[in-house]
Amino acid sequence: MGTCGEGKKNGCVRMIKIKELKKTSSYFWMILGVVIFIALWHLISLRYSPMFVPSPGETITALIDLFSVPESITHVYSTFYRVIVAMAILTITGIALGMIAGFNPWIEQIIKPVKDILIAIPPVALSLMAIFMFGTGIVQTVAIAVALGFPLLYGATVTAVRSVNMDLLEMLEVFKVKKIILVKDAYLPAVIFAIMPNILLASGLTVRLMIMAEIIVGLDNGIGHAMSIARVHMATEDIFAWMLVMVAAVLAIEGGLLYLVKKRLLAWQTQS
Amino acid sequence: MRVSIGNLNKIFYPIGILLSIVLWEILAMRLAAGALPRLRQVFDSLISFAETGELWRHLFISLYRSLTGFALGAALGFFTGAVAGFSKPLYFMFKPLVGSLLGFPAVVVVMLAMVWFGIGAGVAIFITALFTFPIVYVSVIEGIKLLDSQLLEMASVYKISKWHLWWSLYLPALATAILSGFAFAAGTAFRKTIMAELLGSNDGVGYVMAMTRFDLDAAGLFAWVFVCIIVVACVELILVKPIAGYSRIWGLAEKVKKMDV
Repeated sequence: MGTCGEGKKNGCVRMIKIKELKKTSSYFWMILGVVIFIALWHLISLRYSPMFVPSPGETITALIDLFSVPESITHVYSTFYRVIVAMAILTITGIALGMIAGFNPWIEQIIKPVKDILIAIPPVALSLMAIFMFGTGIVQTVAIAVALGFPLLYGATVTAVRSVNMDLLEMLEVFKVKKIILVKDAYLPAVIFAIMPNILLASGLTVRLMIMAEIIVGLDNGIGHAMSIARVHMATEDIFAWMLVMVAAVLAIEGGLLYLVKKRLLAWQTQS
Repeated sequence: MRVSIGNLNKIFYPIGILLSIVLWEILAMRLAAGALPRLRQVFDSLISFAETGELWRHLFISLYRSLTGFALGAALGFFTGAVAGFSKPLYFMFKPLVGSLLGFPAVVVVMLAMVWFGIGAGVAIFITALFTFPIVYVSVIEGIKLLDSQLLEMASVYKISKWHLWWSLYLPALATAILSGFAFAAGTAFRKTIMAELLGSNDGVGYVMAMTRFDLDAAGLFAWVFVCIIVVACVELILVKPIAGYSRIWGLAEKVKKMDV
């Protein structure tokens, strides 16, 4: 606040106050927002039958009930198993094709129409198409997640390859470093470093896609299946409980990990 | 030199399209019947849909629903965004809620909406509005953040009236942000409508797509997917692309797009 003059004292104090508010009480307001939301939810639930809107308490009870049954743990496990398989395929193909396309702009142009279509296609439509192509099973759900997550990682990799430090590359070229070593030791670390936030973003996306695919395809296990069953039985409190599980999972992946990685990346960047 | 190489590479885009078509045709001939339709079959069913009028009927229903939902969601997002953008407490109060809404799979809310509204137009309109809302909200907030604070300070020094401030400072500055938010949300709206119809409706494009599964009509499904892509591409070309070029918050729209499930 070095620019505070005599005449603007009031405005200046206000600005400092706003800054303090931003720092110290943002969490307070966020928590207040959530509390108000839960209170509203509770009030609304009083008006309607639990079959339509279960109260927050009923949802928590349903959540505890759900996880006292081993079956639910299996559902969570099978969804996350699929997510991990999909993420592994997604990351490897995304980085590999992205690097090839990053080095060869003409290959990038050849892949581009496929990428454009994958972006434009509604995810549900792709899920239905995958049923025709792969039948109903794990292959199908994984294929959907890979197809829809691919443009994200591929695009990020292409950009990352193009923005590798030119000075470093020039130096390596002067020292006549082998191409393989160049890719392995100069490009790959830079690319992985650059697309890390995108990998995390893609994990959150994959969790959501997987649950969508499970619901639309109608698999016989997984979180999506558990929700379908809850809907058929009109067990709305179970749907709410599963939603809580999912919000927690997606927020943990996207918010928590993304925050940690960004902090780590920033620390790394300021050190160098 | 560089430019010419760039232009040369553009030639490979149509080659990519051709290659994909050839690959598709080969796969369609090789794979078991019904897994992947030939291109001709897809266009035949598209033409037959157009001739029977089915195409226009369902497309009209879906477009109507996504427009209604979009209008509701965009209006709500605009007003809450405009209020929360100028009030830190409100902004932080909404933050966790909008954040979870952005991170939420629409399909799950569709299941809830089916319990609340029953099968029909209500589900699709509700879902479309609900998921249009956070996109418009976030873009209005981002637009307000980008307002030039020095300009605002000057305006306050010269004691410019509130109305004048909104008319000649806020609105022009916000216009690009709001427009790109709207444009981007329009594409999302259609996709969400399709998704809602697929599970919770008995007409509209999403519903007919779901039906092709039970009729084992792969060509019909691909024809409808083609229609969807055309609609999304039209929105993209007419609305998103021209506005995005001028908008500084495009990075944000890209980010939201990546979460668009």
